[in-house]
Amino acid sequence: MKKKAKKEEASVDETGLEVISVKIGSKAPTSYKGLGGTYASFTDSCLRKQTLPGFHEKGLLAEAEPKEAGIVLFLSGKRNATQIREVMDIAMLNTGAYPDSGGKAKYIIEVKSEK
Amino acid sequence: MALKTANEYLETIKKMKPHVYIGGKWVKNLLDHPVTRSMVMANAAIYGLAEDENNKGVMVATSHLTGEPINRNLHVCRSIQDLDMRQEMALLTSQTVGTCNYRCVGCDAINGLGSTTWEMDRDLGTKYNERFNKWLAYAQANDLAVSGAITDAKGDRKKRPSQQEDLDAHIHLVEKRDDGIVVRGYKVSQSGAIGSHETLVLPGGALREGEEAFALAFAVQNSAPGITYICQYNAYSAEREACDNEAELGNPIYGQRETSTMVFDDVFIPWERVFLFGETKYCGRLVSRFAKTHRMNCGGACKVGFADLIIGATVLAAEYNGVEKVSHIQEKIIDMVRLSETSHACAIAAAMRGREEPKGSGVWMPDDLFGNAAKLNIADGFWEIIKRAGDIGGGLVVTMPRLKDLEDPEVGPTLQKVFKSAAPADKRLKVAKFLQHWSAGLHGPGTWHGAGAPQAQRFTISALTDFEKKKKMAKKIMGMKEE
Repeated sequence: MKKKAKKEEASVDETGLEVISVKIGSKAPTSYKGLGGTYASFTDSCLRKQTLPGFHEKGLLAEAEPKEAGIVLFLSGKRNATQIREVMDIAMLNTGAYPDSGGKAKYIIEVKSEK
Repeated sequence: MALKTANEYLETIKKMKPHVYIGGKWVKNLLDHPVTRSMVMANAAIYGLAEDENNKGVMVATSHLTGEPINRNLHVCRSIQDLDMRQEMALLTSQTVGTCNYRCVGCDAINGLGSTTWEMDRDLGTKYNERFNKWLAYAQANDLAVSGAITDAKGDRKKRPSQQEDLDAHIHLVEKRDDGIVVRGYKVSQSGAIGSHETLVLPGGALREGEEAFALAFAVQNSAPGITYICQYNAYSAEREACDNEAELGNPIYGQRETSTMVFDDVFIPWERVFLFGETKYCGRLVSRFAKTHRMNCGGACKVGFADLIIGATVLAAEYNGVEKVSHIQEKIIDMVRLSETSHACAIAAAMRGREEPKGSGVWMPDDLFGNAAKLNIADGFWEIIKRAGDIGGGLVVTMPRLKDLEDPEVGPTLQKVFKSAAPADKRLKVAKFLQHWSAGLHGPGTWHGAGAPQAQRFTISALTDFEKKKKMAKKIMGMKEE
């Protein structure tokens, strides 16, 4: 089992792709795969441009806090998990990451409704 | 998934949210606005071509990176056969949509980068080619629509990029970070960038030492924060917005050629997407390799596909007017075919005389002279073709009423009588509207400037032609002695 996990990680590196996990509430996280640097693009958007990729209006992203191997986002307004999932699905696609079934996530994005 | 269907492409586009402005409005969904929708539908039709078993040889290639079947728009040419199929793809796509294959510039940028990144790695020990191939494998695996951004705003042409009052006239470096770079500036006349998943950005031309900040090539996601697309807007855009039925228009579904100005406002590009960073020496050859490929395809095949449509409609106009047997009409139609097929012959020759460049790279480039001749020939030839289309189509091409006026209860019955000829009025006006789209539309200047204005081809042809050798041959046959 341990060996298999190692092999998966290596294959991800060889292809230059990275897996990003998006965690919303208590539900199982969803994986997205993009080219290396996708997570860097995403966090640059959140921290420097203060917006999510694909969402140009200001105010959707209330807060973004970098965390070890990831980032925690707070979206404005009261949104349930399904609504947040819809937003993140668009944001991930617009940053060049596509839904993926497996692979070890290198980064974790945790998304919550505004504090 | 290595090959997307047209519907799968449209599904992704529904979720893509580029920052797009057109004619005073911000567009939230590209499929909701009639003009941006025409661009997206043309791209969808290009995806659809690869689904058709009859087109597989032209539209589908085998990835040299993975061995998987891929859309040819994402393929690096590896042989003369590939070059030939590439120009055939340009012909087929134009014949199918009557406007740009909006993946075409990206395809030729991929080939320029495939060749030049390999050369840089060989000469400089960099890892650009490895990085580029990873991006390309990712683009192929997801069958991304990739556009190409080459033309900078340029500013005052007497000044070099670094001398411009506003440095944004050329895409330039703002910040170098551990994880990537930040860039800003403008790219203009970008065909179909709005409906692409990614855009490959190349330098606009050759650069000199000291201009390293402008020596950049990279791939960027369509919706990267900081990119704004300001779309072209003209009489055709207004007509499409105003009409209540697209069937009224010259090219109902796919429209005119849609471009935009791309504004890069401090856009972050991770290193994994940067394929040239400061190597001024290689900018000229990168652009030149892009240009020779694009001139073969754009000049010698894409516009030939357009010409096929124009010729077809012109023959219909002659038949509907009852003049198809008139000798000068037949002569003019044959001239249209000659002008068009001469350019296509140059494209085929450019492919057949193609070669590996640089040696050992595995990337095949078309012959420079024939590619440039194809483009220069069609730059003039296309105007000649639309001139003849307007001639044979008659003044009606620009004086016709709206198509739906034929159904107006008050004026319709009169118009039906006025425009009835050897064919019913609706058929005659439909063809006239199609010819208006071409002869009074955007494609004349578009053909002139697309893939570089003719002066660029004259310059290249002059540099490639051995005039001394030709002089010697002439002297020899005349019996003149060498001085």
